[in-house]
Amino acid sequence: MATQIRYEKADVLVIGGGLAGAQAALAAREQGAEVIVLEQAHVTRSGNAGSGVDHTHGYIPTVHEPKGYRREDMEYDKANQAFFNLGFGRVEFTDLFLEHSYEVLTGLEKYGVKVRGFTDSPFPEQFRVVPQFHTIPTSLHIDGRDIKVALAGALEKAGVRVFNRVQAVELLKKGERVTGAIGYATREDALVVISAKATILATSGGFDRIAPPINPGAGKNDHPSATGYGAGAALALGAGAQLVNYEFALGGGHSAWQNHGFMAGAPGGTWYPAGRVVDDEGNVVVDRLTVVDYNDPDYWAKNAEQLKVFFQGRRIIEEYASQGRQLYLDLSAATDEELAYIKWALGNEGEMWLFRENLDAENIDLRKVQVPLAYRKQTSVRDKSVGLGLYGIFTDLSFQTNVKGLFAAGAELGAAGAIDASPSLTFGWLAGRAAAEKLNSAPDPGEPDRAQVDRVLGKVQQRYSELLGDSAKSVERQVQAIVGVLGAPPHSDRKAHTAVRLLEDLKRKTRLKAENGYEIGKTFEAEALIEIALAVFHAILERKEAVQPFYDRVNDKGQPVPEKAEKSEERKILAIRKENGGYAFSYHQGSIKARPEGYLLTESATG
Amino acid sequence: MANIIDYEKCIGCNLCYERCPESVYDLDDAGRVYVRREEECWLCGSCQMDCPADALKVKFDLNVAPLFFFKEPQ
Ligand SMILES: Cc1cc2nc3c(=O)[nH]c(=O)nc-3n(C[C@H](O)[C@H](O)[C@H](O)COP(=O)(O)OP(=O)(O)OC[C@H]3O[C@@H](n4cnc5c(N)ncnc54)[C@H](O)[C@@H]3O)c2cc1C
Ligand code: SF4
Ligand code: SF4
Repeated sequence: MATQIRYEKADVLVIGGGLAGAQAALAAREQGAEVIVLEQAHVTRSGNAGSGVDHTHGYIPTVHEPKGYRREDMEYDKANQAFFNLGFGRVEFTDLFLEHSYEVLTGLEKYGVKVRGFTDSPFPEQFRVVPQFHTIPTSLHIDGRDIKVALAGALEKAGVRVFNRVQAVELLKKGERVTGAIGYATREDALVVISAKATILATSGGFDRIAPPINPGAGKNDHPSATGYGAGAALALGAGAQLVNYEFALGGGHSAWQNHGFMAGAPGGTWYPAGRVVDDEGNVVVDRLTVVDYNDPDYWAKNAEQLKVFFQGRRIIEEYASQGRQLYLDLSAATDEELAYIKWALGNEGEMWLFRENLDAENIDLRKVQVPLAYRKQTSVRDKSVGLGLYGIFTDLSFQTNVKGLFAAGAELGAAGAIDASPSLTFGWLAGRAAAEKLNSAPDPGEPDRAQVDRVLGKVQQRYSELLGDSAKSVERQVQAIVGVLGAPPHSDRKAHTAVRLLEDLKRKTRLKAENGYEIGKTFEAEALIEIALAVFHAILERKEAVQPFYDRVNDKGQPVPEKAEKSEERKILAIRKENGGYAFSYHQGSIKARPEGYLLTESATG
Repeated sequence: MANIIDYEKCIGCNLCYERCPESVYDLDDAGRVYVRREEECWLCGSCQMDCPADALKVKFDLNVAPLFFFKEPQ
């Protein structure tokens, strides 16, 4: 194969054209920057939000202020929810998000996403405010199925150059600075070398594929998109940037979102307004949630009651789950109107659209079936959005990493709170603006380092020529096996050392092979997975103690090694980076903000 | 589960091939889309929602555990 090389130049290079990447590109472009987006799939439908998001959240002054709920109140409540009380996060990111959330959310309307103006809504500006309590105090249902289609259109209109099917595989470096990236165009068999003054990583940061699939036979590995291999983190690591909270990125060994689709926030969430949870005999265990009348003088108190029902519900469900008792989502009492609403919301919630289509194709009435629920523990990092908020790339409040010229945005960020759709959109926008504002003082990236380009080209050619080598899939399975066995808590030095040894061995012995561009892309993914797994186990080795509530730790005799810090204030965020061929560590102070007594809403409900 | 293209209806726009994040579809030597990597499908639904000719279905068996399974109410 004769792999081509193409050279390109931009002011700002964005890696990943998901929610955050698209927003970053649009914001930088608005400041006048020349922008290139590298997207390994196709921006129109790529990323976690590729087929839609049903809800968003944020501080909505018109809705919240009249009810006496200030931004500061929400800062506290969100801090509680994002585990900022634990000392592993930086609450300043949540504050930043809330400061800009209204502007960013309503800003989606100019791209054609309907965020408010739902004529059936009694709320100010006709927002659809729903008791979807995985965001506090409520969520906003939006018409978000085609959010990526809308953003892709906006990118085109703004004159952002989007390179679809180009996978970033290495960051270009000149001295201490990142000066762009090398991408591999999987459908052209070409290297695309882009020099840029500023580079923003926005690949979503999740790496579900590091662990064995939860639902192997079902054709669906838990929750992951193709992008769930930690590309941005691997790129950052390679360039000397810091990753944080990696020691507990695995949570309970791997993420456990079985039946996620059906979970969808049940009994509220996408199943609002009629979803409830029943036991084997059909007894209602968790009742339905209702939206509180906005004009009710006791609005917050009543909303808080709902929140209480929700949290009590979670506890009951966990109790049942721990006893091995099966629970079911039940919609049997839904009215026609309610069912229609639920189906609308489902149609915006990622893969739930497809689920709905399949139900309809078989004429299945959701009221006549019960769906078994599989729940995960609330306090675990396994919760995807919380998990992504905690582990990831470490930046300052201008989204700048410790490496000059390198930024990060969206779910890619570490220690920055729960980063689902609205924070991703917001942080993307702010990161794009911050990167563009620094362009004047940024040096010209100059010519890319030919030796680096040749090295990547050599890898590609080597993989094409390898006849008896390892497929990317087989390497991925080996990583998953190592993580599956040795990554499950309790952690210990012995397990982590073994994992590191096996991974280093795998790295040394693997001779990746590929027959076409698609497979070349996969070989780079397999390499990234090994790097991510190594970073996780090295961080576990460095943090020689339990980290509660995420994992227990034992010594070689099997005795527990408790955490040294007795209070959250004494905890430090652990950062890992690569230096001189090895790993280096540093500790950062988190910021703590949370009401010890819990949510304001819950408090007012009990008080 | 299965990704099914109805070639009677397909107008050859290639949108499914262009957009599928997992490269489930590919083009054959004649430039026509076909299902190449069904096992990579993550059920996002994009191909089916964007197909302009209603020619493409991503079907899954609603009764296969552990992904989706049902129980008739008592
Ligand atoms: C099914 C589902 C439903 C969801 N529903 C909701 C919801 O209703 N509300 C909500 O708030 N949140 C929801 N979320 C979460 C939300 O979608 C994510 O938090 C959000 O998309 C993260 O934005 P991001 O830009 O950081 O990452 P993404 O949107 O995932 O974008 C990352 C992009 O990077 C690209 N990429 C990856 N690696 C590379 C590489 N090496 N080179 C080039 N490109 C690369 C990917 O292809 C992708 O386009 C949902 C998630 C899923 C999976
Ligand atoms: S999107 Fe539909 S019409 Fe277009 S090529 Fe695919 S199957 Fe055919
Ligand atoms: S459902 Fe999504 S992943 Fe599956 S084939 Fe269609 S576009 Fe590809």
